Amino acid sequence: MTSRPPYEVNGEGQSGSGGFGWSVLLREVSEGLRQERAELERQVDWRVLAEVEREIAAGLTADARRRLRERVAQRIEAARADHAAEDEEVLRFSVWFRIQHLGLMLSTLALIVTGLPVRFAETAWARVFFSSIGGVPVQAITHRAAAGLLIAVGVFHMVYITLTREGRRELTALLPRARDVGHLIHNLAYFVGLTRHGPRFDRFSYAEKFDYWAVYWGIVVMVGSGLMLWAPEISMQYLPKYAMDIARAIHSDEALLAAVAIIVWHFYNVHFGPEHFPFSRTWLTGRVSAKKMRNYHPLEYERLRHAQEAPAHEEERDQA
Amino acid sequence: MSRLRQCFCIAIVSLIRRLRAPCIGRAILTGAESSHRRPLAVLAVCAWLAASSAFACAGAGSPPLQISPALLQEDDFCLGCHGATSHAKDAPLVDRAPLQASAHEGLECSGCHTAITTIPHRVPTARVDCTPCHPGDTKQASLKAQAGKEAPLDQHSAATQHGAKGLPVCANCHGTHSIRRVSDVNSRVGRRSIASTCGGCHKQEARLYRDSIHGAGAVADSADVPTCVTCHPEHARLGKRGVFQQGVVKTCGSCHENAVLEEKYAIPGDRLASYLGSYHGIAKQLGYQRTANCASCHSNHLILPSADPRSATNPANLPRTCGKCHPKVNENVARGKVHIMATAESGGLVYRINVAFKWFTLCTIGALVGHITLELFARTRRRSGGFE
Repeated sequence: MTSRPPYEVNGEGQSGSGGFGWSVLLREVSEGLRQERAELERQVDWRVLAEVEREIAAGLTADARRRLRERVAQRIEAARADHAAEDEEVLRFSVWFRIQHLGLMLSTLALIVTGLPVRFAETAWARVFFSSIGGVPVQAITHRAAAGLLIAVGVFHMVYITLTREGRRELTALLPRARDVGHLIHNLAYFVGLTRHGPRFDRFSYAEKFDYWAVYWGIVVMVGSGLMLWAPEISMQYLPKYAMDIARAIHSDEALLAAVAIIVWHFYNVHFGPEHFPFSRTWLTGRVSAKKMRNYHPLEYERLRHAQEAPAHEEERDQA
Repeated sequence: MSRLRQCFCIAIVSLIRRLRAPCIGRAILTGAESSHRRPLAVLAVCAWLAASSAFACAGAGSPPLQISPALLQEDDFCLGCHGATSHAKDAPLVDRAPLQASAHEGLECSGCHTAITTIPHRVPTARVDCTPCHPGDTKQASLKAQAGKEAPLDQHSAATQHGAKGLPVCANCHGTHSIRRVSDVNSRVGRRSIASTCGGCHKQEARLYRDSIHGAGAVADSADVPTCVTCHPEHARLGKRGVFQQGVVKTCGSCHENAVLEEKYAIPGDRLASYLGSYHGIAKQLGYQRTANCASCHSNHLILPSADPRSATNPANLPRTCGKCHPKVNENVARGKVHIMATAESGGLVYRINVAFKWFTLCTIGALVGHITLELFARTRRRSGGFE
């Protein structure tokens, strides 16, 4: 199998204890070098094997030659299987997470659509929007309904990531680690051509983690300020008017930030990025091709392959 | 009018007509105009009266007589009965002095009293119709148009159309013989008197207005301060009226978003802009008319600075004022400014949040866009072998 850097053996296990340091960067860069060396070694392996086979063919017994040929055939078979596996799809997100994503997507889109015209009320398109949906009362109700869905999704998600095994596993994989900062710097170095290989990500790259935690921040801020503004008569039983003004300023500003961030970052990463255009179907099927998996989440991919093949190897060993 | 005098007049008129001698009548009347010929004129009148009285009395029971068009041009003919000198007991007294000082100076009686063409007057109560000279902007014009083709021109005619009785016509506001231009200080509809004129019927409103900051200013004769008709333009068409729900914001804003006036009277600025930026203003802009407009909070006639304890926007009164629409609100509504400009330093914390978020957004989105750009750049370079 492909070589694995020693410190990545159990994926998430090596914790990001301690802050970011040059050691992290060095580790990233040296890991790139290690990869190149592994590739070289592999090539040399093959050549040496062929050479050895040719040299010893004459002197081998027929039995030994047969065994050797069998093993070579096995390796070729394994390589082919590897290749074929690239077109297979791997389940990346369970149906529960897909449902949560769907709820989040629908509510967020509805909130942006019914919310932005309020921020840009003075524009002509806002007026067109409002007159076409039936006026301010309709907007007020749909915006609150969408907010209700968002809150429901948020609560369900909190329950899911804390109380289910799958949820806890995903949460652990999503926790930010010092390695992520290293990955970012490594990736930037890779972008500008300082290294030949990019960072090798595990289940979630730093970009995906950012996407996830940005939503956390966004939901906390938007739902918090939104609930204050939901029913002003009730809020103002307890809060002074200036608190409402602050809530409104935050709600409005953070909404714009969130909307632009989603359109720029999330849409690039799942719609407009060259490998996804016009859109990735993962949010519907939950599946991702093994090829993408190997390219963008190599550590997870290798762990999965290893887990698949480990039992097979054990059987082989038993037979031998 | 005494029977005898009536007979005299009819006698004169009928004789003039019968003898086809309008020149005699004119001679009499022009004689009355110029003093040196007055004795002659009086003599002539007396002679005609004496000569024809018996004959005329015999014809008194006959239908009213038409006044010739030529005589209708002569004011003195009318003043023969309505004038102060020869005032008949039951003919309304007409004083020419106010008319001569009015905007209608030089206009003869029949110019306005077009319905009076006979003696005795067949329609003594006929109202004057101003529309021939003032088409389009008067109540009569709108009453004529009320056949359903055009929208009524003003509130009073609209109400009349809906069956209200006793509402004013031109003369009720503008006066009758003493009509003066609006720019005239002594005009009934001028800056100084309009509140009293309208207050003749709208007593409560006029009283509140006089107590308000606007009313106090109007007494001081400042041409900048609004009077009744600044906000309630009487002759404006329906839907373009100053305090109509759609228009009230613009009406108040025409002064309270006016840098010159703000400077001159030290009134706070950005009132309209900050209102339009508030939730009330946003809802208003988006077509929701039930939201609060200027008058909802500042009241309408008794508008006072918020420092005044009588003001609807005085902090002590805010719970009640806001409570009109938001029941159950308490003194919390008074804790914080109302007309906040999120874009100006005066916006306080809201402004600072705005600025902080602006930079936060710019940095975040800038970083994300930068990352994407670098990634695309790297992709292109590698595809074309640039880094290899």
